[in-house]
Amino acid sequence: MSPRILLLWLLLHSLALPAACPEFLPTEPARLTLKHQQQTVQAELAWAAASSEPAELQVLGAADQQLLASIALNHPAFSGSFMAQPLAEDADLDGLADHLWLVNQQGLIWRVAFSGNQLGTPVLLADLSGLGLQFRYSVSLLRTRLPGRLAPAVWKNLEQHLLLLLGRDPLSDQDVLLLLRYSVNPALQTFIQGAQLTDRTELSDAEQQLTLSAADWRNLLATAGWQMRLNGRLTALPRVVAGVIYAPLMRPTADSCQPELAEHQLLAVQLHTAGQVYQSRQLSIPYLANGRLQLQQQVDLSVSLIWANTEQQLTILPVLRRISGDCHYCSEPLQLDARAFIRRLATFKDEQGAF
Amino acid sequence: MREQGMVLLSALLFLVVMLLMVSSNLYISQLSVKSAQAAQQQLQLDVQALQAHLLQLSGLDPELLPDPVSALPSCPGTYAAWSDASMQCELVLFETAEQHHQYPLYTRYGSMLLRKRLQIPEFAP
Repeated sequence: MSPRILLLWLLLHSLALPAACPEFLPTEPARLTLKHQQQTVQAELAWAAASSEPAELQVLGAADQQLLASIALNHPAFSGSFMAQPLAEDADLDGLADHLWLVNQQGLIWRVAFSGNQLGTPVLLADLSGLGLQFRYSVSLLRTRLPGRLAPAVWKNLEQHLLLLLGRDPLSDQDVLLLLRYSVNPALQTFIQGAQLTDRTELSDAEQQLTLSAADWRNLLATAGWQMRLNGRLTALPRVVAGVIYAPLMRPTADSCQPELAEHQLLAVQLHTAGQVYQSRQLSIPYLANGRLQLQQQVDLSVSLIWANTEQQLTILPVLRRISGDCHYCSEPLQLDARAFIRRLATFKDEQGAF
Repeated sequence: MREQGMVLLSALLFLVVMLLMVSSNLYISQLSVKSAQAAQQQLQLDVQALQAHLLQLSGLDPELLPDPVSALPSCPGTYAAWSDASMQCELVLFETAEQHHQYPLYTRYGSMLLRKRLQIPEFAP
């Protein structure tokens, strides 16, 4: 081994977490509604044993775990092994899942029509293999709409699908949060490569003052998405609440994987830009064994974020914020005022029974 | 010749009497005024009914809304998106009617509303 390689190896190891930190993230099966033998059923999707070649997707009944269908990914377009949960999309809004978004471990992403027991022709949407990450978790597929006041009308794709993924850097054993933007209209969906994602690991000094300029916001939203390297590992899958991504983060010490000794943080970033919504994107929180993030409605209709396990409950964010389309960096306290949850779609004169 | 003149005269007389009767009837019943105002009153009632409808909508208690017409499989996209399945959306039809206090006029307005429901445990002191 030449001295230069040895030096690099040592450097990598000094940066890296202990190589054998166990997996903290729980895996939950993907739940969806689909049509099975003319009946609408709740089902779960899970990957069959990793050794099967080609990869095999199992559709299980949510209630009784009975195997409803087993789908082999035998289309030649598919490659690699799969661990991340498939994400379901309901394109025609009939309440049934009709498309799946599949992510393989190397970072290839396909969208494929799904009919309960078979898959259509896959469309390759992204190739993130250039990032050198392992993709074992998909977080969620969100449908969003950009506010017309902020986004120029010429963009046309104000309705977007946001694909939130979690990657793991095998060298440093740290997690990377990624967000990919696609138009809701499949005809406008473009192929994305890892290099097109904006790196939002570090914020500029100006942005740390909680200001994101209009030009920066537009530039950010015009890109294919963003990625953010987390200096640690998530202990639960992120959750998006009113446009803010929340996740508990653990930073193990250099020589131990013990969660008790590690530093724990709450990650809270803006969904669209990965900017900050609170004073900081990473807030320190105490260690709780098997801690989970929960929402709690307060008497004044605001919402708090609770860090809880079976014995303890700690309020870590007393008032959650909601991102607002009033300006490029605006947010306001989240209020569960039921009136705000009603939107008038149309008013019409009813001729029936009138005279 | 004289007989024909009598017929003409009596017919004219009859027409005059009928004209007097009809015009007096019209004058007493004010039918022409009513027919002229009917359309205007209908329009006024429409505007009033619409105003009352919108007013009721703005001060609506969400708990008192009628049953939803249909539950949507997924909520329409918003800027401040939620990843939670705890967010549910449904369509609700809300109707109001207005009747004229004097005349038999009646107007109904309906609104299609989108209601979002969020299931979050409440704070228990």
